[in-house]
Amino acid sequence: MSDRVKMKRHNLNDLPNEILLHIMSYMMIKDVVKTSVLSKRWKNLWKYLPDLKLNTSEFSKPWFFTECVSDIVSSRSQGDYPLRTLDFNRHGSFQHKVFTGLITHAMSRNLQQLKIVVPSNIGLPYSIFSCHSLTSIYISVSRYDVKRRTRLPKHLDLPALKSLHLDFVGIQADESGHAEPFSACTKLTNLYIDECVLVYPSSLSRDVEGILNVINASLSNLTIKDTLTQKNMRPEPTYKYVISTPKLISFTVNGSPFRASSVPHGVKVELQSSSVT
Amino acid sequence: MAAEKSSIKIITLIAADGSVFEVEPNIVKEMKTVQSYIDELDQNTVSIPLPNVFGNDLAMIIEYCKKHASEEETKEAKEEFDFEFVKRMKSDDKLRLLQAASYLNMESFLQFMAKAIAAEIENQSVEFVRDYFQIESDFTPEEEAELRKENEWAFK
Repeated sequence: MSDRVKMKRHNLNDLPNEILLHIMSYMMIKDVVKTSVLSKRWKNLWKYLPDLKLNTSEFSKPWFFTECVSDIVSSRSQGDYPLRTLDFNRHGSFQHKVFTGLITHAMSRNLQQLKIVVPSNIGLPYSIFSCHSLTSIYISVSRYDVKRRTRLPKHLDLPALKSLHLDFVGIQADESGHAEPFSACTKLTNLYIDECVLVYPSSLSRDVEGILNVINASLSNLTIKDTLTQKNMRPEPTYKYVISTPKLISFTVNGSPFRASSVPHGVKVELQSSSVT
Repeated sequence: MAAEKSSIKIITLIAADGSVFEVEPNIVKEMKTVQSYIDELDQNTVSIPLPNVFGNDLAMIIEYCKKHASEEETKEAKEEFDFEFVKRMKSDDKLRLLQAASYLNMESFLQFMAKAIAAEIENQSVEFVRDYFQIESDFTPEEEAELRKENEWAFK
């Protein structure tokens, strides 16, 4: 027996693929992809990593990051490799075509969790908002250009979505200045809106007061943070929230302006600012 | 859960080299391989041979389990322990403990070791990683060059 034990001791190739993938899940993407040349066993192993973290901060030069994303998509597209979560974090320049290619690839693999941190001038492919496998979306947009916001469509067709986090994202309003994006998300339980604004069609007069309807039958936790006016940023948001969420348990509000037409009975309301009317 | 139902008070673990460890049931809770063994028994004591784990390694795993099972220890104390625990290990120890964790089916300890190993090969060359994992390349130089080309950015 002791001989068998000694043999086992050093040979990492005895470990199942899941464990090797587990080690990879803690590695930087560059090191992950480098494992493809270790030996034939490792050649395609990295492509089975179901959680992909792509972050520009791991790259000394931005164009290496673009190459990285583009090559990974093309490598993974050669087979039926699963993708459960995608964590995309990008600063600096980036080809929009490559980003769209990545998102399209992720959607085709029944992605469940999407986290994207991007500058405001990057358009979000609308295929994200009609993806039936997504259970969690986190979008955070950096804050240097208010007008060219990365924005959400008027309606979200996300039947599996449980959690939605929107940070500095624009929401497209209709011709009357209204938006009701969340009502078709029938599994949604957590909604976090931080400094989002309505984006009006250009035909609409500038002094219109828009309405962001938060209407959802399953929502239990709602957080709205809005501190734009405190930072004196332009344009000032001129819209109100109308909330209709019968299952709400927890409601957190921070900042202004805020006007709720009705606060559901028995709901825990946490007001972190006195400027709420 | 299952462990509470069982009447076992002391568990004897026998390592590959014959060294013996007596532990309380809550210490082995994370070892699913051991747990499944215990669940089938109804007696006061039990001894379990672990032919794939060496005594030194098992001693370290038990030390880790004791620290993490303790309700008196703070989260910070456990983190500090983890930090020191990894620090005193050589590369070879980490790989052996990872294999032991895999064999014992210990989820959080396995994660802990996987993370420690990932940190060790961070930013290292292909040659280093091959050496570290004791992998012999079965690629021809041409095949390897072709693969490097497929993801050129990773090797710059």
